[in-house]
Amino acid sequence: MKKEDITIELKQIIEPYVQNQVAFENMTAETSFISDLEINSAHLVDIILDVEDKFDIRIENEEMEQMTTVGASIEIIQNKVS
Amino acid sequence: MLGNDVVDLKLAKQQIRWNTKAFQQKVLHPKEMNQYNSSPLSYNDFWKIWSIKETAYKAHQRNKNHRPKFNPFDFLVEINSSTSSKVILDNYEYNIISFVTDKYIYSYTASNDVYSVQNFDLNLKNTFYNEGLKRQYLNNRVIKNEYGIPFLLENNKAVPISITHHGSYFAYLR
Repeated sequence: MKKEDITIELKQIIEPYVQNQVAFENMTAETSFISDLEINSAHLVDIILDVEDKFDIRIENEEMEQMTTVGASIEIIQNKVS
Repeated sequence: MLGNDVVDLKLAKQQIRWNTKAFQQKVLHPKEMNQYNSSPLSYNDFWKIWSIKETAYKAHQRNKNHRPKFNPFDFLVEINSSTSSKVILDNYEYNIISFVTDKYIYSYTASNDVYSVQNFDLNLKNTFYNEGLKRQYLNNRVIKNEYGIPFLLENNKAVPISITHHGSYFAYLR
């Protein structure tokens, strides 16, 4: 799966939880879910569950730990779906 | 140690999956699940343990000064009593007080040299109730380091501060 396609899918997943729309529109790989998009930390669990469903993968706890930015999440997803 | 976390129990209802095993397994260690008779945990039990973990995370991130992580699993909560709990990680021990009402749950690192200010009343030692407290009151006085850890600017000094805001509730600890 291409990085661009994963990015599009991921954007759809995170959109309902985003509180900072400006940061969402200007999203880059470095964008942080919590400090930039102002996503409530409990919603990170929702995002992980949605990612698992959408890409049909299982995110291990060590991987979840790193999924605090858009770029890190895309990389983890890409390695799993390959 | 400095960490606090408030959960607005009305707003937390938006977490529509909170009571699924899939959701709770991402947050709770099997050892924690075993402390309770019911699995998944009840609403208040779950959000209480969540707020304890968030509190310990904030205190620990400041101690280690590490980049943000999402590792609720690492913070193993030992419940001592209805108000007191303990988290031990990397040789650090965090003693945490939790205050549970039907509207909110508030947890903070208990210590004689810190105090908490909230827009809700706790009626506990070293806590101050300020009904009109607003997040904006702190906004232009708070700076964050490279990892997002907050400090309050006061008399040209950067004083460590922990801030929590969820729904109608706001508190800081310093």
